[in-house]
Amino acid sequence: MSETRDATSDFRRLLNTLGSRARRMGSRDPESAAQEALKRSLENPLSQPAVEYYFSDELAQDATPPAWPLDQLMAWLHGVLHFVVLEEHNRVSNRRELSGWMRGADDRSSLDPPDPAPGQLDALIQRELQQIVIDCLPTLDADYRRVLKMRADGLKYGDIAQRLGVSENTVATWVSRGIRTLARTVRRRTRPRGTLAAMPEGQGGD
Amino acid sequence: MKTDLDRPMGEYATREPSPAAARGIAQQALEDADLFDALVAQGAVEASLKNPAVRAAVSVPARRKPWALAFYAAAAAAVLVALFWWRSSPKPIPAPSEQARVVVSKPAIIPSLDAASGRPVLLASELRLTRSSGAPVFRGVTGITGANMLSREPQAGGMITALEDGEATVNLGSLDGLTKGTELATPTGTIVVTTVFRDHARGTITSGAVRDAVQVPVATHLAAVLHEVDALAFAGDVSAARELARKTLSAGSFAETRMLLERLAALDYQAGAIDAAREHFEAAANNLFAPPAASPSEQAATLNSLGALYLLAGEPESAVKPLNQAAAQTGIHSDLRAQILNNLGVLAEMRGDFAGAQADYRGASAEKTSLREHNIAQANLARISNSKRP
Repeated sequence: MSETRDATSDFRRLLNTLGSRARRMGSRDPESAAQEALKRSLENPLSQPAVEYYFSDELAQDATPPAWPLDQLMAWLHGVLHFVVLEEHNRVSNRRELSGWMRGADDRSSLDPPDPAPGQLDALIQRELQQIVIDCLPTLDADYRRVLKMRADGLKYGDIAQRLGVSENTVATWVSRGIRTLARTVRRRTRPRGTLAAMPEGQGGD
Repeated sequence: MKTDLDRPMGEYATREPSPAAARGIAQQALEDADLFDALVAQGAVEASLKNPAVRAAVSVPARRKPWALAFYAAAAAAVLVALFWWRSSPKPIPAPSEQARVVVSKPAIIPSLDAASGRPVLLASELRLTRSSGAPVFRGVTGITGANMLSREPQAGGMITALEDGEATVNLGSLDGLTKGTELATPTGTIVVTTVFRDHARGTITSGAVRDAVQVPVATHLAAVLHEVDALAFAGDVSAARELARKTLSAGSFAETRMLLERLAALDYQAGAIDAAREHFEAAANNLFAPPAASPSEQAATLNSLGALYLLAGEPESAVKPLNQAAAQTGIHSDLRAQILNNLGVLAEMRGDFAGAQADYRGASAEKTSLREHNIAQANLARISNSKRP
């Protein structure tokens, strides 16, 4: 409990933002979903330093920059929140239905799905991130796809510009356009799905 | 506060800001949902490109836009006009050194997969359409118009639609790869399938509720997708087959999706997308040992197909390694062995080693193999024995 209270005070703005996104994803309890996502991020030894560096409301003067770049952390936070909201939805559905079906089953805690192991959670997040990219691929410009292919081959953006005979600004423009298209897919995937998709537009807005 | 993302995101991605600047952007993203989504997108790309399946999907050439096609058509027409003008105008005979350069830049022999081509014929059954093994699933119906209307795509997950006396009905069936005994994961346990219909199934359940999500095992789902991909290809919709295979590549680990990747590569070849086929076979060949490793037969077939594609592209030196690795596999079917030996013969012929080519073609003919393989190896041997060589 005290950890949650500390996190609430240290990461107030991040929790507000995650809460808004959780609501958009169809969470019935966005504040708890945001707290759960933050808790899991602070429990992970890889994401924790990045969360603290980028998002603590007050950063210590001598804070060490984290190993994770900002975009890696943001993708992780999106993935964790996505998973937490799905989990919440499954739990609500189970409780509602099982109360009518399994008479005599009074051990409610046994109905909650177990938390995934850290490796499992990481795999679920990776799958969500891959799906964003795969879904979007057919709509990406050929220029950006060429850049992605070279990135996949391990080239840096400067090398890519040189190899394609264009300036780094041109590559940056292609990347911007590509990211804008991908961001629309991210936005689509933060809308509620399944039964929650019936929620009227605007009810889950930011 | 909204940000104009066009420049900042490109610069963020390509110029790697200092940690302090990144913290500034992070604080800004807390107020700007578009910037938050853009950072998630950038992170998703960088994380996903480490996955071989995504890398393979990225390698597929993008669809050209209509205006681009018009532009290419106009450019092609202009080239044809210029070529016609050039051919019809008097021109000097090229100097011997120029002639020699032209001969060196083009491979002297380009093989074919067509037995009637009169050229060295390659054998690579993976590059031809074959039905995947497994229980037959009725996937296509012929409509009133005579058009083939295929069934829905296999689903990776569904839900419980009814519960009665410990038996659950789910909206997944044989179309989704389910068979008697398949175990479906639910949030609270499993359903063991006892009765399977085309689009739904029943099974025993220990705990769960109506509308609970159920998950098909990854291997089962991928096998069903492979089946659907084959059905689409046989119905003549290679484009839809490729699309389904491509978008399912992220459904499992690389070892789990390797067979799908190989099928996608074969479909690429059949669709005339030679570069995509090569890249996909290369991706499959590079990961033959991703656990669980491919069987010797799968390794040999993939390497043989990759080698054949290199030969078809007129790159015999690139084909040396995969074909030799394929030949080194033991315990493989004699049909596949004959195909590899035949293709090694084509490789030797392309490199000017006619004695070696004859030996390989003889070896292929000597394998106890199907009539087609035997006849093609024999034809290659007869052609090279009868040809006048320098």
